[in-house]
Amino acid sequence: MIPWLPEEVCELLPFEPRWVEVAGYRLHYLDEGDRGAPCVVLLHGNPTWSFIYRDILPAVASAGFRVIAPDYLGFGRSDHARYEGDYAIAHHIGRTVALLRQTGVREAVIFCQDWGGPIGLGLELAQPGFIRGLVLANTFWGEASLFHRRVFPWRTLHGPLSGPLLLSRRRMFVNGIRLSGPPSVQIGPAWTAYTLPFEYHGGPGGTLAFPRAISLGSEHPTQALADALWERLASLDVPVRFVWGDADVVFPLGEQGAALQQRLPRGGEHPVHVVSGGRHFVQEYDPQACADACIRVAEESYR
Amino acid sequence: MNDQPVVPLMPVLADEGLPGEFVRAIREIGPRWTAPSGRVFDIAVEGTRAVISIVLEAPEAPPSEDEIDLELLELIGAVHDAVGEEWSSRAVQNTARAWGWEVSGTPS
Repeated sequence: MIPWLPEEVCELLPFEPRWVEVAGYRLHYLDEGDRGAPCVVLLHGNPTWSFIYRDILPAVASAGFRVIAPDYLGFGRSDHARYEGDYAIAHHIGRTVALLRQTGVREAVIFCQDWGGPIGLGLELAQPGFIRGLVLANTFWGEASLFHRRVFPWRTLHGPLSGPLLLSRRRMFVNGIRLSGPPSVQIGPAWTAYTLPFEYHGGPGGTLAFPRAISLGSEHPTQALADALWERLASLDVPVRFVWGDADVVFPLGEQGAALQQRLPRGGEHPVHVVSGGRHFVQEYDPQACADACIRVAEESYR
Repeated sequence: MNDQPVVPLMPVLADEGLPGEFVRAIREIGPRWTAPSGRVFDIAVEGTRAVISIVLEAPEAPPSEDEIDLELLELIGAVHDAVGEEWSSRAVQNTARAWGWEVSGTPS
């Protein structure tokens, strides 16, 4: 766990840090808004943490909702794993279930970006009926996109031996924020916030395990989960909105966005807010659009 | 008393779950690999797990992390070339550059 933050980061993230213990690890989360109000859960991706929701959290809370943003094991202010196997996606899902149970949340609207998709949708597999509404933002369900199938610049990044060199020793995945985020987060306190977890622990956290967990086919350990999520999506009849950066090379709107749109019940009808020029970390490009989508879905879900 | 000198190893990189072609390529390189600097790396493979260590010939200050990383990049490039085609090591180097590591040399 990271018990404190630099002052300049605190100024951007003026929320009380909260902690739970799950399976021997201390996990950090933010929890704002009325505790008795319907809940919205904001799920981050790789290599970010709840910091990415710093502008979305207060906007959704001020609309009358409880908002929880967890940091997965190996990310943000949470502990880093003692064993690489603890970063398996099923364990991330299980720990998020446990964290939310400890906060008393039994159902929620979820906002999913990047790995927030498989982990958030996994909450529904673990607890049928948990998801009351869905905001999908530059995300997927665990199967590789076309980008993930390319040797350069993706598969070599986490490949045999090259992965431990580039991502563990050099801790380079954080540079994904430079490649797929706006200039404003590539310097100053925001950059400090994004690099801090890896500097503090002197290691890569869960950043190597995530890319290796993307399924490239039927033999891959994640494929069964991806199949189960894909199956569940077809009957997940809840309010849905999309917020999607249209300049994302990892999950293009016409690929993962379109597939998700068509797979869900009432496919093709779910509103899409396109963030023009927005890359992968769309929360950093248009936090207001992300917050508005959460509020609209929550209002539809809980009315 | 055993007079055999003990050669200390400094583990610098480990990976597991390696595909068979990578295990074979690592075995082909052999248990020791010498970098252009003369530094010797020990390569231990057990099952699908590999551990790469620096062989410290005598008590000495370890090299800098950047030096180690550059030599590992070369060694790992050799493994990737053995598995794939000749451009594989360049793919590793170009990936490193694309993700922000200013590896010296001419990008290919």
